[in-house]
Amino acid sequence: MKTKVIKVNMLARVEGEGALLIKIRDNQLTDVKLKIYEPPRFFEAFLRGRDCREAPDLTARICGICPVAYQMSAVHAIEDALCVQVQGQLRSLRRLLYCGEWIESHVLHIAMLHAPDFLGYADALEMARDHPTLVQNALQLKKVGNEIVALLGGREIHPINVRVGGFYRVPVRQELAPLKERLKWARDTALELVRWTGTLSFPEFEQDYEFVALSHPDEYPFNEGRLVSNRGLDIAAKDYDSSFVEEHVAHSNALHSMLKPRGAYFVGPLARYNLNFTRLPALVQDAAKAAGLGPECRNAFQSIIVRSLETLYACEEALRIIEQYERPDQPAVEVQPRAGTGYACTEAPRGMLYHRYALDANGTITDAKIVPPTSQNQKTIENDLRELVPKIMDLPKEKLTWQCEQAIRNYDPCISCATHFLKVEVVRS
Amino acid sequence: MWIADLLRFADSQLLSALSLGQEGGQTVLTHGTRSLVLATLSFSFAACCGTKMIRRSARFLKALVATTLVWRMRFNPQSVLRNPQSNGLLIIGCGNPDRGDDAAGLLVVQRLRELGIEAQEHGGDALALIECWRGTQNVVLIDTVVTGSRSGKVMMWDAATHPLVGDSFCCSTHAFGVAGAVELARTLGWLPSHLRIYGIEGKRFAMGTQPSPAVLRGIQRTAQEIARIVAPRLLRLGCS
Repeated sequence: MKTKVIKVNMLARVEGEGALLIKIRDNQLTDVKLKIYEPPRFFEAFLRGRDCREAPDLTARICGICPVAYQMSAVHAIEDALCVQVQGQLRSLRRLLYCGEWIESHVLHIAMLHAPDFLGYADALEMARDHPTLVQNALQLKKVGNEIVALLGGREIHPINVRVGGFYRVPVRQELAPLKERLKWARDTALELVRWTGTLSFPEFEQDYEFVALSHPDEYPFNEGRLVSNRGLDIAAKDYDSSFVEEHVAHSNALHSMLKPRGAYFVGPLARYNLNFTRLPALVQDAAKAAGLGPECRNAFQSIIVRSLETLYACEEALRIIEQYERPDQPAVEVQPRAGTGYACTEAPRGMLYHRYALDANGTITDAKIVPPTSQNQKTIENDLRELVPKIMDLPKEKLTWQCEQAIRNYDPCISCATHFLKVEVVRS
Repeated sequence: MWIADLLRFADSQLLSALSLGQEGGQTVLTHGTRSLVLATLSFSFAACCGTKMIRRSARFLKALVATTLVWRMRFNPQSVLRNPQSNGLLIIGCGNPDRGDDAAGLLVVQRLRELGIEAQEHGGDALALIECWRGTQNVVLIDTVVTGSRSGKVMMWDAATHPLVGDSFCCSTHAFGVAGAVELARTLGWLPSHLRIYGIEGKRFAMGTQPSPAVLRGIQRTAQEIARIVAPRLLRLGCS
């Protein structure tokens, strides 16, 4: 009996702290565990008792990479509870803010975390010696995203200008104007990035995933839409809890999310792309075609191309919004506290992010639920490894480990986001 | 009015001297540089008062500049010495305030601010660090390190001339830490020409804890050392 154990005690090039354990016995894969041991953070618990208007700033602290996503899901869910709708230029500014975050987050992952896998480098530092232009362009591109977030959010990380009903302050047209030239450069650079990712080599790894993402009739989704899948799911955010369930597994401090009754599903850029390809502008669709991607992509390793396409889209969309921008009369819609429950899903860079808040008549949060994308993808990541490992089992251990880590990085997991909650039961006797 | 102009000139000369003093790894403002600055100022002043008053004017000017700097330090938020970055000197403290000894860099920043010296807090993310110092030629950076030395020990690296040992700066929760930022910037040609890094040895990084007493002493020593470099004149005048 021959046993092989692949153990990565600390996953590299992912956000947060996690590990991987794979056991192979007599050439049979016996165990796969994506272990998330980052301590739980209890955000949902300490949101209880806080004023609902504090939620955007509190939840932004869940993640330093995607704070805008947490703010957006929070404000939409609370506005849903308060029966408020934000439209017009305020809605557009929210999309613009999201564009900034997608650019920042996607470029970080494409160039600094994922690209070294494809080019055979241990990390971005090693890669930068041979590909300095790629890294320099990526850093400049990321900076454009930072500038958008800083302008609309007040600062680059954990923005402070988002509020329930809109913003504390909205920019005048002239403030956005300097971003136009920067975004035109960013759009061209993103296009180059798409072309470059299209030249990479990808393993054959087409899987029969159930993709889940928001879908909106008129636009590629950021803030709004129905929750749809390629297997017939079509629900509003308020029906999330009746269609999805979370379970605690012993090896992870992040709850595993599943679709009732089908189990694992896939959220993120690949899901958005497959379910919303027709909403992408011609420029992005053409770039996808030139990079060798059709309207459907089922190979998670190709998510690096899709991320670069979404970066291109975010640049294009940001330019469109800035060109059509007129400063609204009021920076926010007035909101009045009332009792109710609100639900929202928005599209974080890593995938759909669900928030639910119950409020009392004073607007105090009595209950909160947050389901981040990495939590939702955990089962699918483990399933990918179960499919991948038997195909590459004969590789030397080092190479096998490398490919398994790369398969995890296909999802750009944000472990810090995922470990916000753990059910703790105290038994006293 | 001409006094105000002269004082502005004095400020700029002194601050230029701070940079000049860092050439060749000599961070402390040298005695020679000080004399050069004062001589320049004295001659400028003498040009207004007449050549016979050179000695007297030099003494007067020295006292005047010192008094003005102290006054600006205390009352004027736009003081150039409160904002070393205006002279191309940037002080950055990295760390996590909620993880014990990892807060050291941030606490040095806090101490420097109490001394009237502007400095920036930073989470330690490499890419943001590179953006933070791009375009600045003189950078002082403070972070917690793990080298196996005794807790609270203060170390200093001249990162512009020597590569950093990556494992020492292992406290970042991000994909790259300070060492990654320095080496990536070096590879890309984006490293400041003067980059002095202070590392304070840490041992305890539990969530929600305070730095150990030894690290707190290291924080105090580091802040005093940086203050001595940035504003030696003010320390000598008892502003600390």
